[in-house]
Amino acid sequence: MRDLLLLFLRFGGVLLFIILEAFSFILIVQFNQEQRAIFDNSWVNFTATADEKLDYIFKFATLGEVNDSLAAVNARLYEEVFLYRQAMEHLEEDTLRPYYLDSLLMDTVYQLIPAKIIRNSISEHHNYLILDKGSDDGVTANMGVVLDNGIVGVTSSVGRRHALVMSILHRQARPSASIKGTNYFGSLRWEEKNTRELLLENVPKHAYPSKGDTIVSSGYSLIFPKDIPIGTIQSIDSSDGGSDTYKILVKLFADLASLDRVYVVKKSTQKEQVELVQQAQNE
Amino acid sequence: MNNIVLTNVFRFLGLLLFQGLILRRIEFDAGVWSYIHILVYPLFIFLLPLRTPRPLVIFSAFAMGILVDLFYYSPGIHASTATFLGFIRPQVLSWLEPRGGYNVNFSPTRARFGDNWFLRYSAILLAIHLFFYFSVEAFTFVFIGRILLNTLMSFVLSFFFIFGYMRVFDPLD
Repeated sequence: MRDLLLLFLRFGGVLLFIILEAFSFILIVQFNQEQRAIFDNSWVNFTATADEKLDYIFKFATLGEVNDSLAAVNARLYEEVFLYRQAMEHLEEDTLRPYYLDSLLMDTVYQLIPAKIIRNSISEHHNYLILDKGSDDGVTANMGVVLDNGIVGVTSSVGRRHALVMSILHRQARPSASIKGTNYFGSLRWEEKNTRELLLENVPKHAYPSKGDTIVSSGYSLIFPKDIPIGTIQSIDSSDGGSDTYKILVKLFADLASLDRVYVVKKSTQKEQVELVQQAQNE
Repeated sequence: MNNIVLTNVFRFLGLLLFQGLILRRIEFDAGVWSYIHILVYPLFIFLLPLRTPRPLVIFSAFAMGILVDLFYYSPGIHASTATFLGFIRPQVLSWLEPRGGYNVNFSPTRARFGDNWFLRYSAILLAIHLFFYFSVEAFTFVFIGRILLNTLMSFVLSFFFIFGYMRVFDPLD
């Protein structure tokens, strides 16, 4: 108690000064119009600036959500792009036949499910990815997984919330691809060397591929939509003179080692097509 | 002892009424963008006895300020200024400390410490008081030029009154 008293005697002046000044300033701001206006204005400026700074910080926290919604929007846009590509194809086929977009839309409809990659391997012979979407989101086995500038793989086994994707960087993956603008196609194979290079095999020599040509998905595999750009021709191996096909080295557009968001392709008529193929095989 | 307390109480009341009732009316424009206040009440704070405990100096300065505010309809402005003056007074006193130190039984008056000393002492405190006052009144340093000009003009007149007071009454304590 005595110490407290001594403390007050020593610092009481400063303490009293601060208290009385604070009280005076409250009075000033409370009861003087001009000063109050200035105070309010400064306070608003201060809080607005602070808000701005905090917003800037918290914006990063919500970036994930923003990305999700943008991915959903992208998915809708790609669905539309695929539709129009199909429509174009039909229109080019026969301009005399009255095709209406509506009837085309009924034909094959691609739905894209945006997904995030949880795990990705590129170092092994059998590379797999795991997505954060599963059967609850409408993903089933044997669906294509694509990017805007490449194909990623095919779903193999699907859980409720996750899906395992066989990467195209897998020994047994053989997605079919064609040279853009032609119907000549071959199958892509990974050489297990470079994650940015695939080998396009079984392209007939009379397709006359040349260096720099764009390779796109063929659309024959029932898994990937047609005409998704995959890569460009880097070199053509014509050393095997006896064969009537080329081996083409394709440089991929997408870097499969650094993927974040992909789209799972759901083709509404896929089931039907698969059944037809199976029927044909049975007969 | 009692004598000193009574003196200061009467000085308090006298200066308060003089400031609030008379000097408040002599408030005039000096040009379009500046005006003059004659502030004499800080003299009460100047003249408080040297041995007054610091918290008491600050508190009585605050009391003077808030009562002047009642006359001026400006709650808090004079109070904050006077409180600051009470707070800074020991600092100014230590700047001006004579070679032999202060006799703590004295009050800092013209009669005790001489014309020259009191002139400097009151000029410094009055300048601080007026600058603080006009700053708080403007409540922003955007108009620093105007604040300084008001301080200067008011200083001349207020100082004239304060020095006149000391000449006329010439209090010992």
